[in-house]
Amino acid sequence: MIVDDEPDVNLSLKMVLEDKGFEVDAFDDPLVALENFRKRYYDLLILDIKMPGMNGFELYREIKKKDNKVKVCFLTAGEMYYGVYTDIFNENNQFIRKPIENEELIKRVNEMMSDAS
Amino acid sequence: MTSSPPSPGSSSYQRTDVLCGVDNVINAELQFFSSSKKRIDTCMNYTRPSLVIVLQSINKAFLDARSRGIKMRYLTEITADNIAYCKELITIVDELRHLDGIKGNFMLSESEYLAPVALFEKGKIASQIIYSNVKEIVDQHQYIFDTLWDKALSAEQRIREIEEGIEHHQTRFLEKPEEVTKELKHRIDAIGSGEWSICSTFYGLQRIYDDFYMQKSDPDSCTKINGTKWVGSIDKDNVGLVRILLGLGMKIKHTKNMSPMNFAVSPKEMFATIDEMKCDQMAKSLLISNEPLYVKHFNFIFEELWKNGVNVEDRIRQIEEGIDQANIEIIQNPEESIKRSHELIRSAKEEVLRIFSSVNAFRRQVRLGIMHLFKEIAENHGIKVRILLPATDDQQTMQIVNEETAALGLLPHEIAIKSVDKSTQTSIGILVVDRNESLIVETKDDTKGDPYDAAGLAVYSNSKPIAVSYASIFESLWKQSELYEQLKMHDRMQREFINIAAHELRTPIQPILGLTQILQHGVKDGYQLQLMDIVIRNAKRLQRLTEDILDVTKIESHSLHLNKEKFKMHEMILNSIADCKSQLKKGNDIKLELACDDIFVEADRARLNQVIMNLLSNAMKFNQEHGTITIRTQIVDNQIIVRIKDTGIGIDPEIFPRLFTKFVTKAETGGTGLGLFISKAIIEAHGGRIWAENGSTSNNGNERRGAIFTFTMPLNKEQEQQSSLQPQQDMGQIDHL
Repeated sequence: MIVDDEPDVNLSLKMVLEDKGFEVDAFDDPLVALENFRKRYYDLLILDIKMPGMNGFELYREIKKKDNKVKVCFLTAGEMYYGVYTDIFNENNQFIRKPIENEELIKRVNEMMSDAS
Repeated sequence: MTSSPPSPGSSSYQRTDVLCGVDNVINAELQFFSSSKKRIDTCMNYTRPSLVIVLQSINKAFLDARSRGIKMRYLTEITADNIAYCKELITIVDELRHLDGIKGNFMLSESEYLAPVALFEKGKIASQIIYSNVKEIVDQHQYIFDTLWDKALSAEQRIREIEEGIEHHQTRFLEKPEEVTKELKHRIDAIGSGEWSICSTFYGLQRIYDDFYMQKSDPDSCTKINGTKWVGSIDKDNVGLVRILLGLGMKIKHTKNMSPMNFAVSPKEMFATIDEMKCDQMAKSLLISNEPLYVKHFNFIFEELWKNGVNVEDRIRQIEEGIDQANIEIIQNPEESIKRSHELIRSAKEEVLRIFSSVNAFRRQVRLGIMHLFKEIAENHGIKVRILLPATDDQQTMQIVNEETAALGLLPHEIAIKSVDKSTQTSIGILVVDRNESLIVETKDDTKGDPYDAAGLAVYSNSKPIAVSYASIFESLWKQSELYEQLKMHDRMQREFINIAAHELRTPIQPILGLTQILQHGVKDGYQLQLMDIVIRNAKRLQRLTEDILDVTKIESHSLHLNKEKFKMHEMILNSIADCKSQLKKGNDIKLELACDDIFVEADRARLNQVIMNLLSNAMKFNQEHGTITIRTQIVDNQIIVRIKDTGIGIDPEIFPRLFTKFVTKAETGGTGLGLFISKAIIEAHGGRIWAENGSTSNNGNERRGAIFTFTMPLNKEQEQQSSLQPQQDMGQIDHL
């Protein structure tokens, strides 16, 4: 699942991943994404952080209530992190800095997917 | 009352008689002498000793009693007038003593009492006499005699004093109004001698002036009181009289710290009263003494008051200009100083400025009710209250203030509280009221919970210049606090801007790069591939520029943060080389001269990689074909030194001085011109240094001196030990085509 409020970013990431054989659901509204989330259906969440309505951390916090084991990777183009979200933050959280080249993206996604949960 | 003398030997018949007539008086005295068996004690005024010598019958009676072995003591007032008689009397009685001011006359034997009526005419015999053999009367008067006798001076001493002019030292306390008035007048008349120093309320001085100077028939003949000193409290109500007395020659000084007694002292005598002598009241009691110790003591007190007094001209000017004398008071007692601070606050008419020495001090004062007090004066009198507190380490000062004042509810808008930088924390609290009065309280021990234990000395002043100075310190800190808040807000806004700018600049590049790269895979046409390369290349260029500009913004707003981690330097260098190998020109090679197996560092890996990449990229860019890039690392004096040398054309002298500033670039080589500026900031943020130099000239006649870029980074001992210290080894060359 990819969630990013920028439709072009969503499209580009979805196309890159699908080109390499991944099955991708992309949403540009975090609330819609939350509504459509299904437990144990997604191997990886790629969430933008800065989004209107609900930021990536808040979205992940809500998703964790439905599925505690889902893996997450945060997309960020910004500089600041949200220190208040220490309940979901730990050193194992992955961050991808936008813009990222396709090759690097695939490499990172493969690494995350192959990590033991 | 009877006219006949008592019968001798009639001791069993106790009676008291009054005898009249001189003859009866003399007979009674003679009878008294002849009846006495053991002792005769005589107490007579200063006119009577002459009768003992001159009156034959009495003289004979004394001599007769003496011959019979009767012990005779005689008490009288020896004066210059009767001194001759007293000298003779000494030879008659067993002991003669002197006592000032004896008025009553009486004689006592072991069983009888005789008292001729007191008479002050010399040589005259009393016309009446009282006789009693009542035991109680005799015993009572014996007690009186003995008491007076014990207080008396020996005749010899008294005679010596009179003959040698030695003043007799005594201290008297007068309570009878007529005595007090008489003694005062006598001494005030002497004030004109200029010997006197007077400390009194102004009533006392007014009294003197009114009663004794104005009552003289010819005021112009008033004795000039040149030299006489007076110290007391001068205010606007008595300035007029001060000027008059100054005109009469009196020396005057002003003091606020009055003695509780009005007193006057000369070199030989002092007199004092505790009575205020207000309005028409005269002193009701008077202490007079010529005892040297008393005189010295009061002279000392006067001199201290005089020394610390204010010149009368200065005081008059202060009164005329409406300036009250400034006062500085040291308050030792913490209870008193805290009480004073509350009183000062209550007395405020316009403004209260308060600096607390620490947050603890604020808490202590809140418990004593200071915020209630501030609220009260603000709400009821519109007094403006401003409070400053030093910041706490965790920047939670205002939160603490809110917690401590929660019970008060909403504070009125007249009360403003700010925090200042922790570096301004001192050990004194400052209170300034209406910029007229100030109170400085020392914090003796800030760890104490009890305010009385925590507080030390306090200094109060009503000096306006001092209050204004403290107020100006307060204003300076207040302004600093406002600027600090503005800076913090500016800082926040700057960070916000960087965050937003980063997000908005980076986000569009993602779909440009990503989708173009996807398209590239699907396109076979060479021309289209070329066009996509251009798009991708420029997207990356835009990406680099975005990152560089964001880095510069962070550097200039001091927002550049390092995420330090431990890693191996050589490993990172090798990775960097691998990343930028595609930029190596034809025939170029890279030579490594590394210090040891590897160097362990703690630094921001990504940033350090950025520096290496930048320097390598520059070296590769400026190197000619078949050139060499040498990378050397060393450990020297707890520092790692990394040196990157190329064999290119060297650094253009024109740009050399500005090499590490922004936008320094040669047009033909391209680049943003920000790389070295950013590298310098990164290295310096790590505590290191970076510099550049041109290599030595002429390599085989060619101008291939090359450029050398060197940077250092500090290593701690642990890092140095971790790095294995094997001899420097040449790791060879990496050849690239």
